Amino acid sequence: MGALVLVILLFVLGIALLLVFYLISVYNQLVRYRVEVDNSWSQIDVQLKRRHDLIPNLVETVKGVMDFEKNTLTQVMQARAAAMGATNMNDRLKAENDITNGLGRLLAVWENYPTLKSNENASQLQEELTSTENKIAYVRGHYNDVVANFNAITQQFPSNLVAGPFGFTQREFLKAAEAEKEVPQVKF
Amino acid sequence: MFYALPAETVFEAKERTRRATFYLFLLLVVLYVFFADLLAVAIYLSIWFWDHVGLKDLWPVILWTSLGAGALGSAHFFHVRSKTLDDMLAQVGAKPADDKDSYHRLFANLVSEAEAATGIRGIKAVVLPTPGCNAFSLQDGAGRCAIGATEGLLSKLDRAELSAVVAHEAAHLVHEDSRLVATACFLFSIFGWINAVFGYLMRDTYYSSYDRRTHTRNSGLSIVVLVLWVVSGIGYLITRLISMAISREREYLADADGVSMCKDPFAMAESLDKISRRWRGDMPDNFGALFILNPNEMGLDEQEGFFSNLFSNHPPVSKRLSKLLAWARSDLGTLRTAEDKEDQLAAAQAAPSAGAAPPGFMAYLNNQWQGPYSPTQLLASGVMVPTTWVCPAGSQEVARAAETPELLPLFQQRVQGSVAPEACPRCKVPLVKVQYEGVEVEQCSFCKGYLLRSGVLERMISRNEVAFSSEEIQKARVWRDSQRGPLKDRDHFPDIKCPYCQSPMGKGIHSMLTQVVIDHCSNDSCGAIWCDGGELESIQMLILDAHTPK
Repeated sequence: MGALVLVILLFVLGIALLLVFYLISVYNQLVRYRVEVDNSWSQIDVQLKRRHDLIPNLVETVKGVMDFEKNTLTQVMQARAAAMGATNMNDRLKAENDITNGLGRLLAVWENYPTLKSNENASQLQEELTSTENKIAYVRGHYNDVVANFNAITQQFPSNLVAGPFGFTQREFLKAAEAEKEVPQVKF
Repeated sequence: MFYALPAETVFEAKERTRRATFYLFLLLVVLYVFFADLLAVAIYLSIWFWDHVGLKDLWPVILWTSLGAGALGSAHFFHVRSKTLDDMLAQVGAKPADDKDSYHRLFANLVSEAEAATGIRGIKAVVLPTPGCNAFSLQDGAGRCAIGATEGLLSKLDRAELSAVVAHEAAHLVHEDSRLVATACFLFSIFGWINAVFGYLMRDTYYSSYDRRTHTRNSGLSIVVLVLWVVSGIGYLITRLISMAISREREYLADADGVSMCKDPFAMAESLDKISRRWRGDMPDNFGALFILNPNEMGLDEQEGFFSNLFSNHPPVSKRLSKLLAWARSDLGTLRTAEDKEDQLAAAQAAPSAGAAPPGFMAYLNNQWQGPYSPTQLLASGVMVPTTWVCPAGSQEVARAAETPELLPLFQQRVQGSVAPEACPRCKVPLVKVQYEGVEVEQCSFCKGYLLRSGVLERMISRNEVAFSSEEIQKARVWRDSQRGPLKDRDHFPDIKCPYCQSPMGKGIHSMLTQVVIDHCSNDSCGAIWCDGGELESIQMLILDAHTPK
């Protein structure tokens, strides 16, 4: 009789231990994914900072070029100021998207200006801007991927049972800039 | 532009390759032990022969050699693995990319883009100073990695093509191919070495065992050596075949993942085609498998079939090209026409525009109109100031130099402190930093001589941004053919000191092809080169001339 109770007791204890180990492993996995998301965000931050640093150079370089997309340039400058002064994330992302759009337009018309093409400093700057824009594009892509992983694990059963009580909430995806989705107008 | 590989696939691929790599290494170690055993048994048997030895006498031999070979194999493995990236780079002869050089900067930017796209941190961008066209990736045991390209490649490919090449190499790094192939290469070089030693011994014993009195050979010893030579030869062959097979299979995978990163199969095909049709540079034999295309071109490379599959470490280019082109929904004809068009465009841009309006400005200097000078000539003369009156040659529109859009950037460059701290070794005036063929070099504004840091001259040779007229090239050829006799009769310039490190500079002929006498710094750690006015241009012209088909 006593032996049976002991066996049941050990069995229950064993199951409880297994549960605890499972809990720990899921918790650690969640933490690992969250760190990955934060790290990925900081990568974006680095590239955005780099772009902010390049914009004054851009303004300096195209200053001598007559009528170089004055409007777009002003928009980019304003968006940069807005992004640097933004207090919440939404405003900042919106401003950064504006910069992306403006710079995309500037880089597209760059080749039409012979003065810029022949200037060594200007072509260096063009290369830096292109490279930074590319890097921003895929660190954003990478961020969305790790967010997808993190969100999946916080919603999946049974790990959602651990995620909820320990405060692992879902993250938002980065959306493409509005203007990028606009259908280009065809004019004749 | 790269697109990041989906994070999921990067992680999974890493996990998968780690497992696959582990099994492969296990297989390699087993093979290593097996051939060590075979060698030991062969030695044992050839000393005591079959009739004295039973099978049970062999077991202890096999056991002990297995243990010994296992220990030796692991030691060797860890020794190979402990080779640092810097050691390997030094062996290949690669140097870090120079951030003062626009070609190198573009390459370094692409490598850092690949870093962001693959999630691998700290990929070094290195450059091989050879005019051949090739690219490679390297990774050491601790995970430090590098992507390298040759000078020739950097000057021949445009941004899209170069980014396809970098994507291919980055895909190799994600799959950890470079580490695997490099380790396999180093690990199995031991069998090749043993084989070479026995081959040498065999020839040696063959001659020394000849008995002059009886005119017979003492065959015992030479049979032992022969058996060992054959066994180690088979070991070398098989291990080499395996490492080649690994390398070959992984090229396709890297092409595929490279394309999914750069989303441009056409540019990838174009770069492969360009590399395959050019000289690929000569590299150490061991490292052949690391490059995007085998640097030691062989006839077998392009053939299909059993033998060529066994003996080449890269799949045929035509096969890789057809896969990529199918992906791009294009064909070889379109590819070749696109390349030809590119070449024509580049030639048209590089050719000096002789027929059109004469480039240059008349300048009002010393109370008279002089010229026409090109903008760079005006800057180098040092007598033009922002208020100098200039007039485009052939017109009557006189304006201040600073008000002319073509000349304004020159003043801005000058104001931005482009005067170098070093002085011209001949004229003793400060040198001026100028951009020449994408590199920042220092030039004397009076004698037009160039001061080049070490390794820069090699870069100049593979680039041709600056165009020369056919008369100039003809003159250079005539000059070269007139150069005869010993060095001391040819060059009458006094000896100079290196402007960088003040060590004496020695004189030497650049090459038999150019016959130009250049001054090079005797301090090896500096290695600067001084080219007197016109010498650098002559070197470039004569090398370009030799490359141009007649």
